[in-house]
Amino acid sequence: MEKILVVDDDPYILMSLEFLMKKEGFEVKVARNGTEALDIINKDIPNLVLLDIMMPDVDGYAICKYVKASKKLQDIKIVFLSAKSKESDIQKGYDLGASLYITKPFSTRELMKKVKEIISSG
Amino acid sequence: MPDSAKKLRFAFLAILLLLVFSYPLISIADKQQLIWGFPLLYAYIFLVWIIAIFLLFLTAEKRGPKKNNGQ
Amino acid sequence: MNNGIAIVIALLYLLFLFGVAYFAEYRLKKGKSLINNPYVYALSLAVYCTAWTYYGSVGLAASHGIEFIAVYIGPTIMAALFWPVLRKLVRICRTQRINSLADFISTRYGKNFSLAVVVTVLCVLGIIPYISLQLKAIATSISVLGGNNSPEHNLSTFLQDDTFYIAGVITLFIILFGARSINVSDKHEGLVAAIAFESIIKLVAFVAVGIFVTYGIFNGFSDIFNQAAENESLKKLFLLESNTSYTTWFGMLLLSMLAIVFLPRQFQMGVVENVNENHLKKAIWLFPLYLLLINIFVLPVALAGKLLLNGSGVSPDTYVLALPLMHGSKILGICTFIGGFSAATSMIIVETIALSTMMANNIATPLLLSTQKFIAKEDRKLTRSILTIRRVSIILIITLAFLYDKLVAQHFSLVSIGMVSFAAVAQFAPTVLGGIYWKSASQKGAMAGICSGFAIWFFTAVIPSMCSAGILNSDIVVNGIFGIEWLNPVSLFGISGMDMITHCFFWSILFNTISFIAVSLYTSRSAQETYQAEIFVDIFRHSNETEYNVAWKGTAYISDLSSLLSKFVGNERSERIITGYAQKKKISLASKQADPRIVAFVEKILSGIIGSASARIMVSTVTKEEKIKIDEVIRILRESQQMIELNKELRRKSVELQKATEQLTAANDQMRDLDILKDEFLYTVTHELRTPLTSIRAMAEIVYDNPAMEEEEKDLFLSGMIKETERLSHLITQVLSLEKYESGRQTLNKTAVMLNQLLSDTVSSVATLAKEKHIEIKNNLPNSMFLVQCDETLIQQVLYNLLTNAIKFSPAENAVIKIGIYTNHDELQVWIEDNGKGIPNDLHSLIFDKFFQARSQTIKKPQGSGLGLAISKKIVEMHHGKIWVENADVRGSRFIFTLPIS
Repeated sequence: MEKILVVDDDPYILMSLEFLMKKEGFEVKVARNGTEALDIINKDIPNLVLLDIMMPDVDGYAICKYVKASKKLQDIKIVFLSAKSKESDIQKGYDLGASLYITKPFSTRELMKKVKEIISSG
Repeated sequence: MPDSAKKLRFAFLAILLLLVFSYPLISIADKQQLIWGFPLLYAYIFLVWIIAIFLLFLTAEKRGPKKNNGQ
Repeated sequence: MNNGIAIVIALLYLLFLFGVAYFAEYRLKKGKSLINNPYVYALSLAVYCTAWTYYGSVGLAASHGIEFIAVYIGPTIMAALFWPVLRKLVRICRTQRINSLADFISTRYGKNFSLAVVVTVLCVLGIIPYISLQLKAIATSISVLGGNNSPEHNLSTFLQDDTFYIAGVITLFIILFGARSINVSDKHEGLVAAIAFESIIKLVAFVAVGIFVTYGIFNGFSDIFNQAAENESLKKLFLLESNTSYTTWFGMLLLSMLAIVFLPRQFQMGVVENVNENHLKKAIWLFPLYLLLINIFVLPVALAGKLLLNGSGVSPDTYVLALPLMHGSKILGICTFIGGFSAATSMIIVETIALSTMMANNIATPLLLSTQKFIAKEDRKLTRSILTIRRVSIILIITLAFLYDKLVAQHFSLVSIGMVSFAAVAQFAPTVLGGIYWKSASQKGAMAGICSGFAIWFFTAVIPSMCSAGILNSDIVVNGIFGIEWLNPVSLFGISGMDMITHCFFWSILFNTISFIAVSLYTSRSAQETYQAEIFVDIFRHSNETEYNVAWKGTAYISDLSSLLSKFVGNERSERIITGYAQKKKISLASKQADPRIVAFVEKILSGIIGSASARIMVSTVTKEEKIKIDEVIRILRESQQMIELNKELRRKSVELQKATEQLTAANDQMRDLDILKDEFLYTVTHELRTPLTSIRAMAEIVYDNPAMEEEEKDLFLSGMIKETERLSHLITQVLSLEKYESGRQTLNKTAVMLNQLLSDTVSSVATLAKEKHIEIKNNLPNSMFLVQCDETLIQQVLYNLLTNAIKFSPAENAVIKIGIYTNHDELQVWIEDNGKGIPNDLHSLIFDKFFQARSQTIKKPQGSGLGLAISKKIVEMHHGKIWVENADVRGSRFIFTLPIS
């Protein structure tokens, strides 16, 4: 079963995404900040991470960079979910190796469709 | 230093030098006497001369009194 | 050794001098001027020390003791006046393109032609004997070195005469380096370098002899002085009084003070060849030092000569050379000879340059130009004629000096001729000094002063000399001219007791000064004089601005002026000079009539070439000048003054304008910054809105898409939506209220408020929130009343913001919030303190910026809207209070705000 990690510091967004992923049949882990996220990534090595950028401790960009730099972790798919909507922010996300960058607010239906696509494309 | 102050210093020096090299001041040294092997008048003239050159040097080359603000 | 070897040495030395001069000019071409150097300038002034210094001082010291030194102390005293006096002369000559003493006097007194002629004639009369003296010194030293006793004084054998050939080579040198360029205001680079070089040579040579005599032949100074002290006649040389009078001493001091400025060679080196006024600063002390060094050994050498050579028939004037030769040092003898030769040549060279410039510019050229036929001549020929005149003048002067030496000079000693020359040039002192400090000094006064001074000089100095030389009947000096006793040349009006020179100096300067002042006071001045007087006396004010207005009125055509100038400098250069000047001064060349400033400028350029008197004549041939009245000159001068003021004002204005521009640019930048801030604010606000919107949309979609979900779960999502909506509307309210404060639309509704009451009310409203997080609120409010005029609602909002902030940042355990209030002078201070993790010092001033949390750390999501502190600050500032944050005593932060009581 595909493992998915959801990282966001907003409790309601976290709650919603956890619900959606579970419903789709994925094994879901959640993290409320960057440190927690890194722990889970190293321990469980998820297939995909839904990653917020602005967090109190470690930001999403740093996590993405860390993942892509590691041989063990580099196959993990990263999907950024961020309120940062500037062109430069989005470009930075893709440059760091993200599979997708979605700006908030987003449609959950659209999100699920894209996540499934990414998972099935291997 | 303002130029007028410099001019005044030089004028003062000129008068001072003319005085020390003229009668009656020069007659003080105009005596038949040897001092450290030199005639008194010879020694007087050259000593005053050297001092005069030093004063001229100071007046010409120095920037004058420092300003009150201590710069 | 014979004369031949001495002559060869002399010629070799001259050859070397050519080399030095060529080298200097070569360097100048490469752009590295040798003479633009204060040390070279100071050394070039030492042209003052001639063969008279070199040989004559010792001669004089041998007979009159220490008296000789007055001639070097005088210049030392004058050096103190270099800064005020010489600098003024330098500035005048540079701006007025003056190149000789005669030119100076004639320019000052209305560019008067006859005055220039008189000065020139008198200079030549006074100085030619002095030049011939140098030739005599050369001849004497050659024969001493060659071992012969006295040189021949016979004109018929001049072809066998050594000095004839040497004078010829010197003349060649002067022509090559002194009369090459037509423009005399160009500096003589090679010449000055050669003179400075010669100054080094003569100093080194003389000091070498001094050391040889004092420490080689004797055992130091005290040995010589002690031996002399035992000799009754030599002992007297230690004193002034027994050899001379204090009056003579004083007279010599004054005379040499004037000579150091007014001798043509000193004027040439000190004023005309000066490249930079600031070089004077070094010369002021270096030149006296030079004089001191060259004089230290004079008395010891004289005494040594007396002790060793007395009665041997050797003239004291040649002791310097004889002493080393007698004691077997041939090499030192040759060095000494070269030193003396260099002293003589440097004097001859510079004096001849100065005199020939005067003669050529003030007598010969005007005569040449006044013949109409020359004016019509083409350019090349005119230039060549002027150069020829200058060369002929040089040859003429040397020839005169040579003839004087052969025919007259043998009758005089070295020193007396020198002093007579000093007295002659001193006659220019009243005219020149008066001319630069006294505006009323007039041309007629100058003429009267100089002529009367010279008449007396001739009568009291030249006639007695001629008598003692046997040319005139010596009865004159005994009984007076024509037997009239009060007309005795050595005791005028029966006043005796002064030596000849002092007597001459006293009477000539007295008559000179009195007639100069008296005539100046009792005669009127021409317009031209008034104008020149103003410029000369106030040169430091005028030197930059003289060309604003020119005291010239009349009709002139540019084409005439241009063709006149081209006769001297060539067509192309003339064109360039005039257009260049017109552009600089913004004068239009469109009209054919020339602006008076152009006329004056062309005249000035020409004075640099042919002297001011000739230049004036030349310009007058191509222009029609109208007579200008004195009051017009005064008006022009006043206008000049106003121009200067106006210019200053203009400069001030432009500085102000510059400032205004800078302020405008700064304001513009600020506006742009504000614009950027606004964009950023909008970005931040929308960003802040996205987060709650995201969760609301996500939750709504979930509930909608999953109708089958459990009630419990559905409630969780729905209540979340409500909470997020509240957050959203709170944020919008805050943004709107901040906007209200910033735009200034918020008004204050001030009432008398009990601040402690308001504070406790606010504390109760957050009590539940605090309790939830287990925070203890310590209320330190005193019971006294704190009444203040303020907007109650707004201040409550500030208190609420600060309290909720404190709650937000309180630690999870043992959280305490303290609040307090107290009076400080005329304001109330309210403080609220938490014991959270605190705020770094460098952020203390930044946290009151809106969305500070969001902006400063993009990674960190703000807790709350991020606007609370910004709004609080606005409110406090509207009440004329202040708000800030400090570190709490142990840990945490303390927020403080003040409200003025009245």
